[in-house]
Amino acid sequence: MNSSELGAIVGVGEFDPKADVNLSSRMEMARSINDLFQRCQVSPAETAKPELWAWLTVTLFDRLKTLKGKSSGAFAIWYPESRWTRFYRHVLYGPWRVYRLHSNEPELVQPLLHGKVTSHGEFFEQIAAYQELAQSPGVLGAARALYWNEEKGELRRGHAAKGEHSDATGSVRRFSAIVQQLALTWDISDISADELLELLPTEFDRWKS
Amino acid sequence: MPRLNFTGRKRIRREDAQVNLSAIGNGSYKPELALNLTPYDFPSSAKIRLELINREMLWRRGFGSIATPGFKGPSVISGLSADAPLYARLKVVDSSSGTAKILGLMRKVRVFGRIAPGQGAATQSFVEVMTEDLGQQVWRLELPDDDNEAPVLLVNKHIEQARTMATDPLFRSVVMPVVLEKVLEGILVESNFRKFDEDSVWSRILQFAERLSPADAVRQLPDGTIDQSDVRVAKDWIQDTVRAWAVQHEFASHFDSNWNRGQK
Repeated sequence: MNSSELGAIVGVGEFDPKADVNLSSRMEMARSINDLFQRCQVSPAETAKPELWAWLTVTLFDRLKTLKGKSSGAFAIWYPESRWTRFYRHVLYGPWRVYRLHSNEPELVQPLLHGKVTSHGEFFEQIAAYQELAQSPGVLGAARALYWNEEKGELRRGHAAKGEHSDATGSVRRFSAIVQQLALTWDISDISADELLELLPTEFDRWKS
Repeated sequence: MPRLNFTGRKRIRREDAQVNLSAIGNGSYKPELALNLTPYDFPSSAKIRLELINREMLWRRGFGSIATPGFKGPSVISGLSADAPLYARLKVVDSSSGTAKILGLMRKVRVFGRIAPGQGAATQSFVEVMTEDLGQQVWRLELPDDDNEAPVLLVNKHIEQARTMATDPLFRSVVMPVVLEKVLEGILVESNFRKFDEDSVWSRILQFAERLSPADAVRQLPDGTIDQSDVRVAKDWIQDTVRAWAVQHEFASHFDSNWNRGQK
């Protein structure tokens, strides 16, 4: 993206990320970026360009660096890399993209966008890394049913367990792996959350309660 | 080598599901499908789904049914960039029982975007070559998670003649053996010897490697873990394969002659 293309976006009168992007949480950040793009009519072709996201990151960096969180110094988090396998990890793009896909049903992405802006999180990593999972309302609905504590407004304890021990059964890592296997047989883009929950093996039963 | 994977679905051959994009202006395209699904004997009520996938989107539309194929609503796709190759995937889905079971699948095939950057750039037999801003790195290898996507050799676009560098004998002789080694390690070892479809890109890469250096099967234990001795066997085989490939292409000889020419 050259300076004139970028200028065509940032030159739009109301496009002021410093003022308009809410960094109180990842959900609010994603929502406010989406609102900003819609208000300024930023096109899909423009939002697909890494240069726009690099510019946004630089513009917001003074605010981002003051936020607490467990972000690593991984390059892909701060500079948008070209392939999806890394692009989704960008601190701004990843959450916005997931929110944009489900902006009509934002509650679906509550588990994915829970937490601080600079905290990537195992849940996000296991779901957002795979386009087919991140785009499926059924998958997100099933994940929300399993791992989201509606009363507390947070992810359920133990969802991110790893390793071979029994506590790791039914974890979001296992959920992601199992759903990818199921996707070989079932069209998970079309499946409902309830149908997917029915297909999951018994290790997930304790999460369904 | 490990093989997968029979779930009961039928593999739709590429020649039976041709997907093309017609430009309609302003960076927008309309997908066009030419299907020959009669040989697969799908139920007439089965639904057809087209998916177009690139680095930042998964675009999906219904294409009617086996009995009445065709787009029923808007089917224009916008915002495509030649820098982000687009792949098509076709699914035939049984909707009769309520849950969408896949009856037939055409794995991802490229339908848009450059295979290699610009004119004259190389397409290696097991890796795609693309240019990208890599800072001070000259090249980098990326191995996708999807076993039907080719590994990508990224070459720094700020280097003069980056687009043809991958064909340069000096570059090839130094870099490509390392690339092959990393690709095979990624496919076999780093993926924990996971199984993938016989007709996938990764499977074809392994077949290419097996032609260079015949291999005994490496094992995945029943509980999904890997026997460490198999890792050593696999790595030894990879080294043998790279060595055989280097002999075939005389990399050391090419390096010697091109290096010395450059020194004069």
